[in-house]
Amino acid sequence: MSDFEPKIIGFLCNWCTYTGADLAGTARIQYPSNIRVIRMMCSGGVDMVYVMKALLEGADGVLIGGCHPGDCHYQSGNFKARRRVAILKKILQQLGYNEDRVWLRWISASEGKKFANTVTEMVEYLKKLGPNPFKYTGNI
Amino acid sequence: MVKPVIVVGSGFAGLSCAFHLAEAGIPVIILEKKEKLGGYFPQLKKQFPTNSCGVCFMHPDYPAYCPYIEAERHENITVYTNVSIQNIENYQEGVNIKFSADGILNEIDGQALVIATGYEPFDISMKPDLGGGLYENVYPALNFEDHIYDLIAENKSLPQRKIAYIQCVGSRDLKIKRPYCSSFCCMYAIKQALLIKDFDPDVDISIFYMDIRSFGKDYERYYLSAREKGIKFIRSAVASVKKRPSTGKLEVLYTKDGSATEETFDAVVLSQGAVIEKSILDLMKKLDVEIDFYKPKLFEDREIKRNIFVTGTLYDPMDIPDSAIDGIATASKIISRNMITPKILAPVKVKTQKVAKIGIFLLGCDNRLDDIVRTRFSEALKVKDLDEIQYAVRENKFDGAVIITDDIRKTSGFLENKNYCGLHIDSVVLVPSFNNALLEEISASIQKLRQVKRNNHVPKALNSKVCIIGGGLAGLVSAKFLGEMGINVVIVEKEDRLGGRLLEIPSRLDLVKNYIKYVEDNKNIEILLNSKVKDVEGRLGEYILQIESKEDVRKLKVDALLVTTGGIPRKNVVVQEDGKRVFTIFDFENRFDEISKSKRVVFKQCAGSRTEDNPVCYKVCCKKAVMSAIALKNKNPEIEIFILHKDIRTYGFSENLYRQARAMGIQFIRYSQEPEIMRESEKLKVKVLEDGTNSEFIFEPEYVLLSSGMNPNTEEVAEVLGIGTTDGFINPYNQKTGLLDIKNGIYSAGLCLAPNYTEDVIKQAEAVAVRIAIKLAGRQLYVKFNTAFVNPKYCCGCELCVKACPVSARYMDYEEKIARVDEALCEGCGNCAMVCANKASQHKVFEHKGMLKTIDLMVG
Amino acid sequence: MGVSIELNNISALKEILKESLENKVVDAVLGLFWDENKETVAYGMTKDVNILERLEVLCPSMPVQGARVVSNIKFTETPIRVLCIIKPCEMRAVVELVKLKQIMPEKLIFLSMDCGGALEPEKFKEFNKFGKDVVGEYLSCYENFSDFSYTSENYRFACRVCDRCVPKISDLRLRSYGKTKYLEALSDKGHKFLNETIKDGLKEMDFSSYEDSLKKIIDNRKANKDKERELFKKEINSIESFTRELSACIRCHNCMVNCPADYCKECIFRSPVFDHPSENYELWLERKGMIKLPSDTLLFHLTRLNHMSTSCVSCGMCETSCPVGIRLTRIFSFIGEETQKIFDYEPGRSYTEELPVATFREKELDKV
Repeated sequence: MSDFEPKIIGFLCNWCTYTGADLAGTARIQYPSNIRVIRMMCSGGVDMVYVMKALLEGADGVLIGGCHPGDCHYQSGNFKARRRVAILKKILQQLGYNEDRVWLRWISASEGKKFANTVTEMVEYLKKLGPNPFKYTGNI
Repeated sequence: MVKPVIVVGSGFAGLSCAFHLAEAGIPVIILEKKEKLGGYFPQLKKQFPTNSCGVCFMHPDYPAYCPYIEAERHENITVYTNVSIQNIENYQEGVNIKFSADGILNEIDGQALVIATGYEPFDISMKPDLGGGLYENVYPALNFEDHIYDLIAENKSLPQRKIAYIQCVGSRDLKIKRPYCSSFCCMYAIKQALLIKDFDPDVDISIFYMDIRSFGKDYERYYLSAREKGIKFIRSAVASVKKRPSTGKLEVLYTKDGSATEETFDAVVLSQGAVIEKSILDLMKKLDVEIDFYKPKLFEDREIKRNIFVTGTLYDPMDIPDSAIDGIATASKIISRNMITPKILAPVKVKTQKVAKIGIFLLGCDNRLDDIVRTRFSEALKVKDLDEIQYAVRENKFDGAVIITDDIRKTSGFLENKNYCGLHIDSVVLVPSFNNALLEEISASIQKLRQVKRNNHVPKALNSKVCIIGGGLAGLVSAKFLGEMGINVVIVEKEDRLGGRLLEIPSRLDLVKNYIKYVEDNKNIEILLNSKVKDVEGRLGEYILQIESKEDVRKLKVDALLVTTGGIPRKNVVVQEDGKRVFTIFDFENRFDEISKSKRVVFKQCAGSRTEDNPVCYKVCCKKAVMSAIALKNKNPEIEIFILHKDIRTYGFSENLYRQARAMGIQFIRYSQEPEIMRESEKLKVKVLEDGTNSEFIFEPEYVLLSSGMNPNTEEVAEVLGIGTTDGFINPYNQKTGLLDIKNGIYSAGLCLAPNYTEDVIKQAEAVAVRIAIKLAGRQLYVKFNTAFVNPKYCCGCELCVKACPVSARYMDYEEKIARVDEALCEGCGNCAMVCANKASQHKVFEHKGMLKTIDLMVG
Repeated sequence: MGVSIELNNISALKEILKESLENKVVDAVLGLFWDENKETVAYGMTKDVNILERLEVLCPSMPVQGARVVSNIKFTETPIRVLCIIKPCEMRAVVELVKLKQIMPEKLIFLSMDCGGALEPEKFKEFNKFGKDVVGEYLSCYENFSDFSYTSENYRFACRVCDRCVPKISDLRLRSYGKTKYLEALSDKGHKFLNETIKDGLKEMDFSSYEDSLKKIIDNRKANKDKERELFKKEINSIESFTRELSACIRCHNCMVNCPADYCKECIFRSPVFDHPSENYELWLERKGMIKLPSDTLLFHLTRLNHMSTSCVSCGMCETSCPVGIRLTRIFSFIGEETQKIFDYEPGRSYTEELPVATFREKELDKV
């Protein structure tokens, strides 16, 4: 499985993490190209259905990026997202699915490096974990 | 043609002045010495007292865009960087400025010049006795913040385990001719210490200080939280910092309990004060403005010469919330000389709901990307700017567009200015070029556009009417400005007269009477006395109020609300007061003659404040007590005056008053144990234990003046409006950058917001009036680019979305039993869509079906 | 504790209800009524005193979720005052729906009982048809403080493992065990109802011995629940085993339609969002080689779990209404317990407790 390249879908908040990712790009900080980014206005706008959909379709990991607690541009979107993600992860865990395929991370607009590190770390983690079991099954 | 306003300096004060001028329709030219805009604000990773970031909150129309993009995109703002100013000349009608930008000489004739050059951090190498510039582990505070934040971001442990902060480096220091206090160093030192403690509680931090000046809104609580977290506060002047060569550690020498003490630290951080740059001092000299750091006020007036203004930290050392307000207050002076010219847009109308012909545009992408996109979408057009898109739309009769752009936020801002290039607002989709699945997202966007149902939006009409609750000074000042700008104002005052508390202070009577006269004479201003707001419903643009007076209850429809209910002197809460010989400083002026004839007077600061159950600093009392003491001493040099205090918080140039008072022989005694006030027959006795020396003093004063501050008068109004309060003071939307905005359509200023000086209350009131005026002057609100919508067929009225909306753009339609979106207010965050289980509520750009498809394609 | 009235038998309660209708304390009574053939019961509402004869207060049947019935009538608009007789799990669901503004409780009075559970609906009908005195047996069990649902396979799974069979928050609580029954007011509204309906006999009572006996029954069920939970967790330990459990799903949406926490007017899964164009199927075929049809069954159940697990009242209606016998009660109730635990939330515990998804705390969930 050494040549397994995990696919990550990233739902990034417009104000912090997306800008951080943008910064990583413009500052030419190297990070793996395994992530495909969907820009959301706020992490509080990321519906868990999207996350589940991505996993069921075979994405190996989902990264949700938001502003640091207290920094949300819309006051409390990230706190709400955190609750949603907690519920989703608990459900996945109860069903015997590795809930750590879903990452929620706070990355601010100035933290391009942190974004790059997070993606690198996530790719390494997923490589160890192996492919998503849903990848090859249509029986769902 | 309106002549432009030139703003020199683009820190927080400069930018907020520039934005508000620009929003009012006045052309602005920003001159910045450096390469980038923003000043020191973006360098600060976190802000006190919330420990949040907040760079994204700066626009007048926030929540909107960040300052750098905003300044570049605003149609009324022109930016010059790398500027050096050659010459400034002012004349009756304007100013002329010669400067070079990027090496090219320019000359501009403007109506006014705003100098907002702020400060430079003090150069620590001027303090070699504290190790400044000598050792690499003696840090300037600004650099240290970067250092710790880098470590925190990478989750690395801090190599410095024991850190000392030394306050007042470059401030309150006569040796280096910096007598003034820089106002914000205490707070940023506490902030850095807290950041470190939150990250790693084991790091040992000591802060060496003279007085902790945490006087702002909620700052005292922040300071206390730092004490609780184990940060050591040591009141002592540090004599020297030396490096021990054997270990590389730093020896800090200071006095503790009267004896010299030495302690070893891994790092020493010097809290740099604010220093005005030499070039600005030279400029002032050229303008013939006297600069004297030893005066209690640096500039007598904000308009230092005709048409030349100063604002921000240059005017007086101040922190970010104050800078923001100061900048807007300066803008208000200039706006009131012009008028507000609102931006008028005509929304594009469409005949059919469906999009027929979609254009694909590559905006500012590199060639490699163009080729990739063209392989699948051969019809994609490469364009340089939005004008080219507008041209192409007209030529090819496109009625929809997918724009691939390298800077999505800038483009969406420009789109709004260009009125969506002649396209309907719902038929434009932006795709970020920085994307690994670009082609998939383009096809998904095209699909999305094909499904979109366009409706013609009507801008929300406003009747430009504001209700001001409370007719005290703040309310009057705001009313005056709004009335001048042609906005209708209704002042609702509980009592039977305007003027509020200031009517009781003789020296302020003229000031407040002038405002009352103006307000009473202005046709746009209606005054309702003996009235109260009973009930409020609605949101920005359509508030409906029930106003109760003695005679009747009447209904009033207004666009916005301004809460200026002010404060009440905290009299009854101070138990020691007897009204005769012991009374609050609020009565000082009325009884000045009587007091000045006495032999001995005691001022007791923090009477009933900064205690455990009331951790509030009332900000103004220290300066007021010092000024009162000086006045007494001037009148009667024989009088003995003692000021009992916890910290003397004469920040900024008021520090000079404090020094003057001490020179006059006024005695300051610091206490931490509550002093006792005793009455023995006819005599008053005050017993106090001095902090530090632990010596006990007993006085027999004739009068004791208690500094007890003002309580906010918000209980009723907060309940009616449903707004939150802390210690009774109204909670703003964002404590750092949006102090005056409570929520969409509700504003506040004055003492109900935070304790403040009369001058600062006026400043806030002017600033808040500008914010309201620029919003309402256009008499309509436009629908924004990304908004949410409700499908009435699916909505079951559970109100989760109403609760989730951060900007109060959601409301219930109780007749239809469904939720609705006010599209003119919606910011498009999508929180309402997420809480809606069956997607009755969705976001136009992130429609559910489209999103699922996008994810499908993205997984690939 | 509030006041109570002693009842010699269950028909004494009916007398009180009659009284309340006649005295216009309430305008109607909602509860389970026998059909003409005395074969089965269904929810109904009446203001006719005579029809009250057909009302069965203690009845081992739960044809639909009572909270759903109450919210369907849209009592939001009606001025009529209704006394609703519902089971404790239905009451919990009522509380959740009040929070979601689907029920306006101002005009309603809720009477709930210490519940002995309900039979599977088809068993209930079958037994009655063949002349078995189902209700008589049920009542005699009550009288002897014996638990029937615990042992009998004929009872619904949700009832067999139900340890929350005592109403905590209704207006009136019927202490139904033992020969003598008691009607107790739990709220001001309930108190007012008793005061207006009953002339004398109202007093505060000590129920400690009653509670002790009741506790034994609840403990039995709790033990049963723990056993079942362990079995379930052993069995559903991987996503494969979960999909196997769901493999029979035909996405008929019955579980959702009958779930009280799924309050949406119309589910997104029944909207055009999930009418996929053929090109989507093409994509999936390409990617996975096969597609299960109807599609999105797993996504449907996962979405339901996300949306309602924090509000799951463990009434078991999902399983009762599943035509293909998926053991949904275990899935939803046991997972719901876990998600509720995160926020220390219990559905139906209090009207003022905010829904976990509608609120947040700044300092919580450090590790997500």
